[in-house]
Formats: sequence, C-alpha cells, structure tokens
Amino acid sequence: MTSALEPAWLSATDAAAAIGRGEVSACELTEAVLERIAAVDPDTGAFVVVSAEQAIADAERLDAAARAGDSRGPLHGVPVAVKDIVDMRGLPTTCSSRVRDGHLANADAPVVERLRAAGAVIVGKTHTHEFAYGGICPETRNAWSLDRIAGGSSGGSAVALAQGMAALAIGTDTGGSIRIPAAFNGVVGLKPTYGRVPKAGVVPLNWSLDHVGPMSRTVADAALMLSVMAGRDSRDVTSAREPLEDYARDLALGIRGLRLGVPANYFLDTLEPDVRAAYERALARLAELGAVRVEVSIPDVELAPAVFVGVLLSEASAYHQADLRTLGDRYGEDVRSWLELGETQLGTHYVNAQRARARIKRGFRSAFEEHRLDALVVPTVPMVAAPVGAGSVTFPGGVEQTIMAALLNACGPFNLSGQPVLSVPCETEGAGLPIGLAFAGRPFGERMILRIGAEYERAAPWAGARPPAPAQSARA
Amino acid sequence: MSDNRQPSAGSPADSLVDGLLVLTGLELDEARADALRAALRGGSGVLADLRAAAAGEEPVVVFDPRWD
Repeated sequence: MTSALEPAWLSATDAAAAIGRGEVSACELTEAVLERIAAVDPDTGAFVVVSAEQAIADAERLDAAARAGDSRGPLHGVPVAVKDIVDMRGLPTTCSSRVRDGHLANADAPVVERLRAAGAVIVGKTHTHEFAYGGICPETRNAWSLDRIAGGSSGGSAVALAQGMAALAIGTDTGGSIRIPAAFNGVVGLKPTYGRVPKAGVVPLNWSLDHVGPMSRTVADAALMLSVMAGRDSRDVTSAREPLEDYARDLALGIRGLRLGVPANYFLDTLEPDVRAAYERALARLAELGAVRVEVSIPDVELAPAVFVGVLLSEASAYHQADLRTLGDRYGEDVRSWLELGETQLGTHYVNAQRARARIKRGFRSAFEEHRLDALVVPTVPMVAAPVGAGSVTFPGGVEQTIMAALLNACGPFNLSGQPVLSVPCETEGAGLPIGLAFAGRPFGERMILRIGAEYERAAPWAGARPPAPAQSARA
Repeated sequence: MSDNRQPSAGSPADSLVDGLLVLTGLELDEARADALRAALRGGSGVLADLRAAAAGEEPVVVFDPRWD
C-alpha cells in the first residue's frame, strides 16, 4: 500500500493532493524520488540522466509558490520522467544512441512545456531502445526481475514508474512502445489516438505511426496526465483538432452494460499459456463487473504485420538516411540492419502499405460498428518479459517468433488504425512477472477506455502490488 | 496467402537484388550485403501479400491543401 510516509510511491493524483493540503512539500517529494533513483537505478538502468539539481530548484520554486497560495496546476510538485527522445531545453536528446553524441536541445517539446506549466518537476530522462526502434530497451532491466528485458522502446519510463523513481512518465509508441514496457513492468500505459498529443520536439521513428502518451502507476494518473498533454499544437501538422475532453470525468461510472469485444481471430492465435489464462480470468472479472462480452471477428487484421513493416521500414530509413551514411558505425547492430533493409524498399512497397492500411482501419471500424462495441479487450502482448539476450519466443504448438515480431504483431495493428489503447496491469505469472491487459477504443475515445480501465483496476487483484527491490532479483 | 517465389541464384531477378543494393549508395561490407540479400529474397512473399491487400485502396496519407 502507498502512504504519505512513502512519498516516492504516491500516485500523481495523491501527491498533488497531498502537496495542496500541505501534507508533503514538492521538495520532500522530489528528494524522496531522487533518493529512490540513487538506491535503485544503478541496478535497473532506467535513467540516461538525472537532473537532481534542477529538479530540486524547480521544487523549491513550486513550494514558494504554494506558500504564496499559487498552485501552478494539476501536477504541482509531481515528479515526472521524460523518455529521452523528447527534447528538453539545455539537455542532449540522446535517443540512447551514440549517433546523437554532442546533441543539445534548444527548446522544450510542447509536451514538456505543458507538463512544466502544470507544475511537474522533471527528475530526469529515461532510456529508450535506440531511436525507439525496437522492443527490448537493452540499457534497462525489468523492474520485477533484473534478468528479464524491460521491454521497449519506452523501457526506462516504465521501470522508473514501477520502482518508485517517478510518479508519471512520458512514453512514445510507434508499434507498442508504451504498451509493451507497461505490460512487462506492471504499470499503466496509454497510447492515445493518433494526433491527440502533439509530437513536435520528439525525435521521429515513423511520422505516420508515432504517438506520444502518458505512463503511470494508476489509470486515474494516466487520465490526469493526458489532460495536460493533449491538444493541438501548430508545430505538429498531424496534431488533431478534435475537441478535448475531461478524461477523468467517467472514471467512477463503472462498466455495467458496456459492450466489450473479444476477438475471435488474430489476437489470441499465439499466446503464452499464463497470458491466455490471465486473459480469460480478466474477461470473467469484467463480466462480473457487468460488462457484456461480445465475440467479434476483425476483418483484414491478419494483413497488419505486412502492412506495418511496409510503413515502418521506409519511414524510419528516410529519417535516418543521412546519419546512416556518415555515422553508420555508431548505430547498434539491430537498428542498423533494420535501417539498411529499409533503404532497399521500393516506393511502390510503401504506397501499397499505406493503401492496405485503409483496410486495417476499416476492419476495426466495422467490428466496432456492427457489434456496437465500447472497447475491444486483448492481451497487451502475447508473452511475459523475455530473458535478457533471448532472440525469440516459442508459443504452444511450437510456433516460434522473434521477440520483435511477437510484440509488433500484437501492438502494431492499433498504430495502423490510430485507435487509442490503454494497457493496465492484469496479473503476475508463476515466476512473478507482470501480464498486461489492453482496452482499445474508438478514435478519440480515450474517456471510455480510461473508464473501463479504472473499473478493472479497482476490481483486479493487482492493485497495490510492487516489484521486489532490485537486490532481490540478481542482474544477469 | 504468401507465395514463396524467390529469385534463384544467377537469375535476372537475382542480379536486380544486387543492383538494388548498389542503388542505395550504402557502403556495405560483404557480410552486411549478404544479410541484406537474404532478407530481400525472403521478403518476396510478404510483398506479394501487400500488393494483393492494396488493390483498389486509396493511401491513408493524402495531401492536405489547407493553410492552417
């Protein structure tokens, strides 16, 4: 259980409220988190850089403002971690890559501006799989077992949250990079609708697939953070003009009568047994909470892996084209190989992928409309965090997939469709590794999936679970 | 759905794979070039799927002429 005696473990919602009531100061909260980072992160490797001095200075200013009766906003004094592909003025945006040696950002990304304006204290920048191009995040170890992968690409952000090193974190998601590490580390991750959160100042992986979103320990915190991050910014031509909503408004409404789709095709084809069992128990729990289970087939979703790769390869290689030629040796081997492969894709491949993408979107739309769905429920990913160094995973029936393929196949369809997806902790499997459960909504339907996630969170056995101290799970 | 047609060694299509690598302008050592050749030969089935899936569709990314 979290308590005011353990400020590093307060949720953002509770921390902001406690600061507002004068029960804890922004400085006390920041210092507690920095102490936690100092104690834990030598083992977990979540942070690229910790901005301790700046964070304390910011917290002191916020405390002075609070004493003068001035609350800066809903995140007043809340410690936040920022994935290191997001620009923060005066700091390098390393993208966890040697290619970026010497970089210095000259401005905050709009999402950072918004978090600061809402009173957030940014404690540091977190590791990513290099340039967000992968699902491992090799610099970071899993919060629950140091011999397991953190998952990526936003692995540092997820581990920071799971180990009490921040209350909120920025993640980005091109093919699952918020949801994968959220599931592997037992935290909440929300990939909003494409364009809901502006991407300016965020190093692109794929212009047409990238999403920026909140990561947190509770669903209410994800709603709170989205409320701060969302909204159009003219510096991002893809940012949406849809009106904003009060994302926390419906969190207490429950889910009685809501229609939740359970896919009859694709998403459940290859699952580790523990993941399948946890998913079935989650469906039973949702039914107990009053939701209506609706079996649905999603037309054309089987095309998603080919379509996803067709978009991914070309856009990523286009962005990196110059650096690949001048700094190729500085890329990690996996990312370099993907970028080289992308160089060989023909224009027709890319255009055909964007054409076929229309079918993916239409398939989800028809399933939602035909069955009047409020959300689709899927396992976030088909597996628990793999051992460090593993290249593939074997599913029942001897089906072997690379880890990259297994993760992208599960998550990528929703990047192609642009729908919002919320991943929440579900259970731990036999060895104590977290399993994630995902709710996919209609475009700009974040409020609905947050409502469902909040109800599941209240009822799920996960609530309050914490990972062991890193010393108890030896690093391989 | 995939077909498994791959360019056989020494065929005109196989030569085109090498030509494609030249066109990229990347300076590849032999090991990296071999890895890319293998990936390209193995990808022909996926691309056949993509051609079939794209038939009759408009691309998702379209030009937006608005100024604001």
